[in-house]
Parts: sequence; structure tokens; C-alpha cells
Amino acid sequence: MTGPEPAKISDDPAFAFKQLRFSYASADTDVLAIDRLQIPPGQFVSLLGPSGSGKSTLLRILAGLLPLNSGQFTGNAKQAGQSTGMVFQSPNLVPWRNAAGNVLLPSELGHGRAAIAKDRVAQLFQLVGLSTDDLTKRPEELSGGMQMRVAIARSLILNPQTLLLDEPFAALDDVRRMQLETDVRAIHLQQQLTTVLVTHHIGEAVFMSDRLLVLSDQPARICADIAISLPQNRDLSVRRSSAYHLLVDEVTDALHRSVKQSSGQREIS
Amino acid sequence: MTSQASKETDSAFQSVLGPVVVALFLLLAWHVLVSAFQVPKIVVPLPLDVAIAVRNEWWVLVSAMFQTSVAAMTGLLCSLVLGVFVACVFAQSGLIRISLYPYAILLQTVPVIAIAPIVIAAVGRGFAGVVLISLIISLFPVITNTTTGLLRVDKGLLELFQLHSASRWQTLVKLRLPNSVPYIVAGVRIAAGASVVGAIVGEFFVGSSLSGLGVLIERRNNGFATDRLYAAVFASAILGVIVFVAVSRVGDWFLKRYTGNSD
Repeated sequence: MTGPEPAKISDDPAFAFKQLRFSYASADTDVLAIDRLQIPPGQFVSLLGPSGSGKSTLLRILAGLLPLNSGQFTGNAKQAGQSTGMVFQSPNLVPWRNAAGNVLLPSELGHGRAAIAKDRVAQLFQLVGLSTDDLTKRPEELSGGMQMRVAIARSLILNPQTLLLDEPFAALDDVRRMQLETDVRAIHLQQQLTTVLVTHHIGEAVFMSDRLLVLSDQPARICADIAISLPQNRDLSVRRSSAYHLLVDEVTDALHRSVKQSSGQREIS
Repeated sequence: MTSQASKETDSAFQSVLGPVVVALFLLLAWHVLVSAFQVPKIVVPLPLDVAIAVRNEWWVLVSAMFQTSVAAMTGLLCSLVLGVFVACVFAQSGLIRISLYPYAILLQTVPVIAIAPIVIAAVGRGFAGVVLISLIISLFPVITNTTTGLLRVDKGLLELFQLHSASRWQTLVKLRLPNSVPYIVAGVRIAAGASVVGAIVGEFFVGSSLSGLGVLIERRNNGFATDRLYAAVFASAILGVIVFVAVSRVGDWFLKRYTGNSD
């Protein structure tokens, strides 16, 4: 796979939090209470936790879409003026533009239009596993998996250093989901991205990540920080390995503990 | 494929046949009732009398329909431009919407007979006055539908625009307005019928210098030629249907090109 120039990795953490607190204006209780978290550049981190635990909220804080109530947050991609790519649960393609037009959309926003090389979109299509014939297709002519691939290409158009994924494969069938997991992991390595994935799927989190954070229920705290020591390049053989299955078991236990801990906290309060 | 094509033909046939059968039934009932009760021609003419009046005045009616349709289409076009502009203002903040919405509702509720003298004072008796009344009558659906389309934007797309620091203007032009196109088309479809009603009523009150359908109705209302009055009313109904169907077809065609489907 060929692609655009990857961003250079600096030594500073991509994201660093201290005493992070976040609550919505409409609620009294904190949604997030994370004392310390550092994500080094180039790492693939997955956030797992019970539904409504604040995983997506944390992702939106990383994206700069939500402001912090208190605490320190540094995210070097933003500070360096570099863009962040984000993929949402649904592909969110606009129906009035063709696939290439959708991919180019972020380059038309913000102050000053980003200069995009003519063949860049075609390169990205190749990178995410689409054919150049798909460039001119309307979103409705593409399958759910292909639409998600277009959304991934769109998230990469501004050559981001950081990629944020909010349950992007939740609506896909197992075969398409596994294909995309493999491809996105490969893109992460090739583009030297710092990637944060929110997911409910333990297998997906283990397969794609270098590190896995298990969050407790609200307020979300990190109750397990698990290093995923699998080969960098991942394919079907990794899914079949005993190391993968042992990690899935370990994460499952951690997730159960987090749910018990959360319900215990609720009973005490 | 063949069965689908034949189903479509059947459905098109039914959509014409149904209304025709109803029309024949109504004409028959009209004829029977007027004959049975011996209603004088000057009060209610027979359908055949109206048909003869239509045939005798064919050219007068067609030219009146043309004049009225020009005024209605001009009013509709003005509604489209002004309605989309007002909706863009409405979409800027909840406070603006709350403050201005009651005045938009006034457009729906104010009787034409009350604003006719104001229109005459402002632009005189003529084409501009008729267009203005057609505009007033057809503006509301365009404003409300477009405002809905501008506000009902996918949250994920709004976040995408926010992520890339899109300005308010970029969000309006590249997201909210394109998103509202199907809503605008639906609004214009409703406004099309209203614009014809507005043009006819406008001609009736302020269009005495013209020769549209409203003027024909107004003149014949004062005479004894009830069959000719009915002919003008018949032409008005036909014009309303023609304009509604034409605008709907253009809207469907446009939506199909725009998003790939017309739903």
C-alpha cells in the first residue's frame, strides 16, 4: 500500500492529562475523573468500558470538541497546529457529494483552504482499500463497509498525527469488521498515527491495540491499563494465536471487575 | 423487471383513472341534482352549460391562466429566495427564532382582504401587487420547511465541521443549506398551490388593470353569466393542479440529481 507522507513522531506524549474532571452542565455528577493519563505518540490505545461510562466523552475531549471542567490537558497534535482525524459510529457521508467530494470536505473547512495534491484522494482510496472507480460514486451506491472506508479516507485527508475512532465498526457484519480492523491497524502503522479507539468489542480492542484502558462506570476512572504484546503487524494468524485469546480473557476479567466495582460504588453512594 | 414495469404502469393508470371516475361521478350528481330541483341557470348552471362556456371562451381562459401563472410563478420564486433567506436568519439562534416566529405566523393568518388596501397603497393596482400577495400567501411553508432542514443536521456531521474549525458561514453553506434542499423542495411544493391561490385572490383585489383569472372571476361575479363564472373557476382549479404537478415533478427531478433519490 502506498500513501501520503506520514507525520513525524515527536518524543512528547500525544495526549497527557492530570486531574481531569468533566461533567455536563445539566448533571451534578462527574462523567470523567481521570487522575493521570499519558498516551505516547504512535501508540494505538483502545478505551473499553460499560455503556455510558464516558468513553466517547473522553474521545471528544481528546478531539477538542468538549471543554474540560478542571485539570490539565496537553495534546501535541493541536498545539503543533496539526489536524486530528475522526471517524464516527456512522460514516456520516453527505449525500450531495460523491465519494471523492466527501473525502475532500475537511480540506475546505477552517481558515484557509488546505492545498491537496491532485492524486491524493486516489492514493487515500488505495490506502483504505477502495478502487479509483469508487471516487465518483454517490454514498448511496456504496455498501456500509465501503462508506466506512470513505469516512476513514476522509479522516486522513489532512495528514493527521492523531486518529480518533468512535465505535466505527459497530454497524458492520463480522467479516467486514475484521477486514477493516486489519486495514486500520495497517494504516495506523504505516502513517505512524497516534490512534484512540472507543469500542464495546473486546476482540476488536485486543486485535487492534498496543494498549487497552478499561474504564469504570461514571465517573469514569481507569481501572485497568493493559499492554497488548502482540506482533506489530496483525493478520488472521494473530487472531488464532493463544496469546490473543489469553489477552481477550484477561481483558474480559478486567471488564467484569470494572462493572462490579462500578455497581459497588453506586451501592455505597 | 417486467413485472415491476407493469406494476408501475398499473399504478400510473390507477392514479389517472381514480380521479377521472370521481370527476364523472361528481358531474353526474351535479347534473342530476340541478335538473331534479330545477335550480335556475343563474344560480347554478348545468355542467354542459359550463362546458359550452369553456369552449366558447377557450382562448380568453387560456390567456388568463397564462397571466395568472406568470404572477404565481414570480410570487413563488420570490417566496423561495426570501423564504430561504429568512430561514437562514432563523437558524442562527434560538433567540432569533423565538423573537421572529410570531411575525412569520402572521403571514399565515392575515386575511388578504385586510392587506389588499396596504398593498395597493404601496405598489398600486397591477402585476407587482398581485405578485406581492402571492408571495405573502406562499412564503410561510418555505420558511418553516427550510428552517427545519437547516436545523435537522446530523450531529456527527456537525462534530466533523467543529473538529475542522469550520466557520459559521462554512457550516451554513457546506452543510446546513445542502442538507435542507429536500426540505426546501417539500416547502416549495406546498407553496406552489398557495402561490396560485395568492395570485388569483391578488388579481381579484388589486389586479383590476390585468386580465388574469382573478379579474375574470371578479367581473363575472357581478354579472348574470354564472356559466362563464364557473368556467373561470374551473380554469383556476385546473391551473392549480397544473402548477402543483409541474412543481412537484421539477422537485423530484432535482432531488434525484441532487442526492440520487427522490424520497
